[in-house]
Amino acid sequence: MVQQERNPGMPLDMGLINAIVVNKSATVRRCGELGTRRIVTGDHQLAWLMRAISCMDLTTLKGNDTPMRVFRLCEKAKMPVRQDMIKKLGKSDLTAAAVCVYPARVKDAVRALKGTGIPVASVATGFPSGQTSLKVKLEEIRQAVVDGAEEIDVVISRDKVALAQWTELYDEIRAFREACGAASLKVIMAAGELPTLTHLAKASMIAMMAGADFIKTSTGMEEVNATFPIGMTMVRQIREYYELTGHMVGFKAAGGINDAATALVWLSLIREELGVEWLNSNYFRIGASSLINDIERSLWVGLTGMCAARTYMPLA
Amino acid sequence: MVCGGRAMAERLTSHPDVAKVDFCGSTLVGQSIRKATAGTGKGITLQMSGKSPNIIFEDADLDGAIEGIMDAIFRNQGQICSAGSRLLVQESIAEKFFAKIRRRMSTIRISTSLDKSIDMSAVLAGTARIQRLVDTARAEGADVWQPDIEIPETGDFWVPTLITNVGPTSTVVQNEIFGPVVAAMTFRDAKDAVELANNQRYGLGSGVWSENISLALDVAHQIRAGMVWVNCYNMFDATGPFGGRKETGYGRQGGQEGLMNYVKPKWMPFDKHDWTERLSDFAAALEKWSTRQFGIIDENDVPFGNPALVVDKSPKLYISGKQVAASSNYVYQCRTPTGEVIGQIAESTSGDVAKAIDAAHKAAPGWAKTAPHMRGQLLFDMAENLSYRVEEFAKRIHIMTGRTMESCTAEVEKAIERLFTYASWADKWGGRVQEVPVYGLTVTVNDPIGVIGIVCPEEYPLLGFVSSFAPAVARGNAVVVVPSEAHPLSATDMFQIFDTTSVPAGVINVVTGGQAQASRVIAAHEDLTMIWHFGDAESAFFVEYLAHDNCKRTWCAHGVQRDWMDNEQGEGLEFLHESVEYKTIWMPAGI
Repeated sequence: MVQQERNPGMPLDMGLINAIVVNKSATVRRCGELGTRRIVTGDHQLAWLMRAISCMDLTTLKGNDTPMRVFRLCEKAKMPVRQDMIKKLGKSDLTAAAVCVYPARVKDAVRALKGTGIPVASVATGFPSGQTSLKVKLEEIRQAVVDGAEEIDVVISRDKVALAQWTELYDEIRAFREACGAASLKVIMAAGELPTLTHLAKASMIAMMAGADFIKTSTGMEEVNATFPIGMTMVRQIREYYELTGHMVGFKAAGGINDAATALVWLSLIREELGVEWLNSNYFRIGASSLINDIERSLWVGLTGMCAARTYMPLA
Repeated sequence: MVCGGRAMAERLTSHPDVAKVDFCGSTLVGQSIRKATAGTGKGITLQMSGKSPNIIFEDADLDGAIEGIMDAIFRNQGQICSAGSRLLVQESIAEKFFAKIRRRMSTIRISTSLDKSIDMSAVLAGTARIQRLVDTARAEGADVWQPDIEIPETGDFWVPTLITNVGPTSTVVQNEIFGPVVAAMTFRDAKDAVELANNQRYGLGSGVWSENISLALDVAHQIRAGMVWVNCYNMFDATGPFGGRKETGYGRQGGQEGLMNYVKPKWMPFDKHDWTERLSDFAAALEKWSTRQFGIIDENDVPFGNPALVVDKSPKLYISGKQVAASSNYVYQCRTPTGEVIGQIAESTSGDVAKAIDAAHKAAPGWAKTAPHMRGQLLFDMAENLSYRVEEFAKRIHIMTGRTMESCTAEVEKAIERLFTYASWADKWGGRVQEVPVYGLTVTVNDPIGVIGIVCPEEYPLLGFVSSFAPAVARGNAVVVVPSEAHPLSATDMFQIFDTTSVPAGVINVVTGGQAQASRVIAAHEDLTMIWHFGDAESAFFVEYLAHDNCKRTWCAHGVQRDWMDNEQGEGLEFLHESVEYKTIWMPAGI
């Protein structure tokens, strides 16, 4: 695959933004059939599951995260599937895509992943609510980058979306992108807190115009996180932006993806709506923590035909 | 006394004159013994590998705990199945504690066993395996530390080893090393510690170090192992039972609990069975036993029998407190003795059974924590709800089996009585104080197993069903029940009773269908640690054989039919014993 130039963004085009509309019921209907129209079984399923793992940002965002807890997660990122299974699968270089932590834990993650090539992603800008000053948000991004984060997951100001302050939203994200420097910028829509799918679509397009490298569904902490209609809406905007500018922006689904079956449907969505070129860790991520264990159990079923015990898969 | 390896073990244990096997050794040999003795009717106790956690809290006597680590993993060269080979240290004291361990390890004396001043001697069976695992640890990025102490130049000696900078994914954390090598991780709090402690395939020993009794007991209750040593490690006495759960095995050695593994009820005949011919082509035999033509409905079979007798029945499955359709559309007919069809019974698929097992797992922790008194109240309530419908349930049995209404009514009333019995046992069989030589308190707690897969007897469609789930549920287990294949309607009628009684969703799950097929799925499912099987002797062979894979505990009837109406056979100590895992907690005390 040709390595694409990083999305440079473009000037805000309000004409385009104003023209964006989403029909919710049509979107929901299309999403309802996703899991039924493309069934993946056998060896193909094993491959898809491993692809899902390679696209996972293993995440811990808890108030009581400590260096040791982060270390444990990083160990899982390095060895996401048990050794004996990896041997059977013949994929000894399988790792997670990244480890995602709070800013205070970036150094711990960087230390634990040293020499592995697995990047550290840091949430920033007053995650999860974003209800803090722009000054503080930008400083948070800069500090995380200094500490070694190669990816930054920021949150948009949902109040700006609610009040249709589109220019302010564009400017804010532009500022985030500058503060990131070389670090990759993922812009979290917090879709569950936006009024409608149309608002979500507009905000997604603005984020891409402002220079997002990835757009992300949610913080994982809203009442509603990564649903298929939300994903479908965002992914369709990614396609629009690509057709407009020729630049590929990545998509990250985060929160509420608890089992292997759901993960497979997400892969199917990306493949159908965007194409195989997006189905790798450069352009597709799943933010999760316990999902990895369910995928591991599914791999076990695929390899041996047996339903594994939960406590046998090493903890993330 | 004879010597030999795996071949000798198989030979000896499968000899027809051997009635009971008590095995302590490697998982591989234990599994082969299980296969060799499957379906024979012999009693088996298996006590195999472990990867036991030794948990040190910040409020422990740290120097005392250090000596506990000596007992757990260094004395006896760590070559004991219950060795505390995973060390879990609270993060807040980790640095200080590891420094103490290193200091203590540096004072260890190793020499031949004739030297009278030693802490450790030679290891059994060579050092090659230990070397391999320690090398793997290094390759995976762990820190491997050994004290600078002398060992004899010749002989199989291994310097005590501390491995840090490892997580649950590390090879040395998951696998038994069987040597003086301890893999150490840190934890934040008790919840973390318990999660790490239970994240293993085995369930033999554990150590809990804390001077806070509330904390120590809370953690002791949550660890899924056969032994919990509080402020001590590797204490043994014949008075107290010893043994493990999960892939460590089953059965106990010592204590009255261990004696239970050597006895059977007086009334029970001891039939021996030989299935060696099935073993010659196991896969084919398994297929033949567990596969059947799914019911293709003969047009002549439908319409239903005399509509005056019964309203037609197409019962569903009962999973997670809801009536759900089976995922296949196959059914078979439930018929009266004269051949009239009175019900279309769903054939559960392996997916349905797996779903039911999942539902049971979700419900099991909450049910186990439910106050025993409340569990009892639920069963009393269930009995009461059943008592309003005696005539209806009796009539159902009468139509299915053709027995007299008198006999059927007696069966229903007995089922009610049985529910009362187990309601009473819900909070009156908690365990035993063991009179060991150590001063303090050593108790064996009768812990729920978790999820039990139950295949009901064919006889007594209602009473057999109730007598099967009631003891398990009373003692805090969630169950997946396969009712009588020929007469399942009494069980499916109970769905409404479960609903009216507000049985918590997932505590009781019922999957109808061919018992052989369902038994196969349950016996092979790796997230199940216990199966009760009241079917025929041949089925017991397949069930016990399949159970070898994850060392599943089994209780099979081997074709012995019970008179469920007789209290001596239909209820009591046997059932309670099979509903629990004995957890022995040693708590030495003194001021």
